[in-house]
Amino acid sequence: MTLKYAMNSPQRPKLSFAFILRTFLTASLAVITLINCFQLYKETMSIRKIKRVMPFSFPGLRFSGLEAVFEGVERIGFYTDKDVTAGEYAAIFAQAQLVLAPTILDLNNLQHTFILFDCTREEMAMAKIKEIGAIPLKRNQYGIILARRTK
Amino acid sequence: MNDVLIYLPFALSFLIGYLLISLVLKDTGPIGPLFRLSLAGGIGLGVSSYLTFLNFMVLDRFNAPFLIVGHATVLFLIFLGLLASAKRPASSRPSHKFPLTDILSFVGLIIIFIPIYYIATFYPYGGWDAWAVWHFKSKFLFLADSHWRNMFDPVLWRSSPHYPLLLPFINVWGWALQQKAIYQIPLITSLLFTFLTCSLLVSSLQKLTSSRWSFLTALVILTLPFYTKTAVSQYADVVLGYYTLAALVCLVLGGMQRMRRYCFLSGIFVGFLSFTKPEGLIASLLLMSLGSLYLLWSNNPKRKELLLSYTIGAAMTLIPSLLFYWLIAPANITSFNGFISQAPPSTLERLKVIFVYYLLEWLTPKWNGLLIILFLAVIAGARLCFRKETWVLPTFLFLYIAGVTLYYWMNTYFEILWWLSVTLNRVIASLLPVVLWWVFFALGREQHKQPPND
Repeated sequence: MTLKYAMNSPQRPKLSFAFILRTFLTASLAVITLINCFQLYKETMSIRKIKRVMPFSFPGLRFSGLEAVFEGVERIGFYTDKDVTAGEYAAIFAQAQLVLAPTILDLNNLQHTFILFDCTREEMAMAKIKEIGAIPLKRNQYGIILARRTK
Repeated sequence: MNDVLIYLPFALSFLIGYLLISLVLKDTGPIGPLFRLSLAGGIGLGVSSYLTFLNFMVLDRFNAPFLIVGHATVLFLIFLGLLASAKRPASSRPSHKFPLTDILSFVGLIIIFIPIYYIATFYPYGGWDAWAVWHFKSKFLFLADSHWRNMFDPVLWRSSPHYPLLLPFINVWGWALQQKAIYQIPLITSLLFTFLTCSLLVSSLQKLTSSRWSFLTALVILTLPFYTKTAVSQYADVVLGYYTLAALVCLVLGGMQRMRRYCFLSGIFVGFLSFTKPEGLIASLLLMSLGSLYLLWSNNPKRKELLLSYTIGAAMTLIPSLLFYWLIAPANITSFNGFISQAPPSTLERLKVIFVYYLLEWLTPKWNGLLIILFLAVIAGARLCFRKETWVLPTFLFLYIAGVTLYYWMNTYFEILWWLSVTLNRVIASLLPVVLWWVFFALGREQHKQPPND
């Protein structure tokens, strides 16, 4: 009798299907969160290690310092012998475009007055500059050369 | 001083949003501070973006004084509105209490954001799409003076010139008090939207289900390495995810509680959503249609009023966005219609690849089994997840994914495997908050059967 009363008591928590499902979902999410936290911790620690030698990651900064030269210039040519279609250099080209915005980089178009050369070897860039009859104006520490067409 | 100038535009946007929420939700009962903040941030930043858009339409160039005066005018108008509404007796007073759950959730979110902020500062210029699209466009708008339309030049096809500009305009507003386009602004914008998404997720679930476990939804996505990566990459997918969630939360609240003011807010969010990305426009048009049906098909005597409020809200923010697509945005040059073109056509093989990729994506380690668990929960709890009061959520998710799939199939410009590998995960990441909200809400409502009472 006591047992029957206890089972029918309104105080007893109802073990409904929704309750079981909620518990399953909550427990699963808690486990996933623990795994996530572990991965996030590992990621943070690896970045902390890199930050000691490199405070931030942005290879495109090698194009900075040229913005002042291009003030008021809407478009310039950008010449490279590297593969811009995919991979690491595609990212670097996008970063160069960001750094030099709002000047538009017209890829491999050598008809503009100003042309930026970023080649695998500096000699290749210089040969191309000579070929199109331009004169080199500026070269930064990363081997990027700015040239100006004379004709 | 410079730090203050970095945060001041965001603070002003939040203030505008906060006051607008106070004005719009005046008679809807007390609103928890975290829920209010979560809605206010999105509204305020959206208004700032549209004011910046107006600046470019009127003066054809960026002009900081115009923007500052514009924001001051909007603030003044809201004050007038608040003064006028204060004269009318309110059916309920706004809550100025800070419930413990809100304080704990807020502090908890801030703590989780410490490692995320740390990672974000290592990638100050974000990820690929930030350099190529969002950050680039922001900088272009800020510095190009009257030549800003050059950013639609086909030479810049890598930056998707046809994309809408909600996120870049917010960044431009963030730079309004700066001399330079400093990298901190896009970084803050991205983290703010991530925070707002998670705080909205938690606070709205707490409001509707009173579940003690609501915080777990934010915790699980914020710690998920892929979601963190999307947030620190400064992609617009987080912004799209926020506005989709906000629109749906307000729509369900408005429909269930028969409050036209929430329907109006939902409409506002639907409009902002359309200006985030082309996918946002699809989501927005879907939500407009489904939301209207959701409100019309309810057994609500006030359904026409609710629908009218929803439509007015959406029209206010959708029209500027549609004007952009119609008058300003160039044609999409990275698109081939494979259904009508033979080079290359949309083959059945391509569709098969898409579906196989979908199936495999669930199993990739980047989700840590989260998608599988959510899928199992939806299947097991189908009776609860597909109920009349929430049918709009699964229908929206299904139709949105169907639309995205159709676009993957139709647009044969990109090699499909590469395209899926770089975009599908972000589509899922942007929908993840909505799916989590849907599942937790559907299962939590069973526990909290009585009508939600603020």
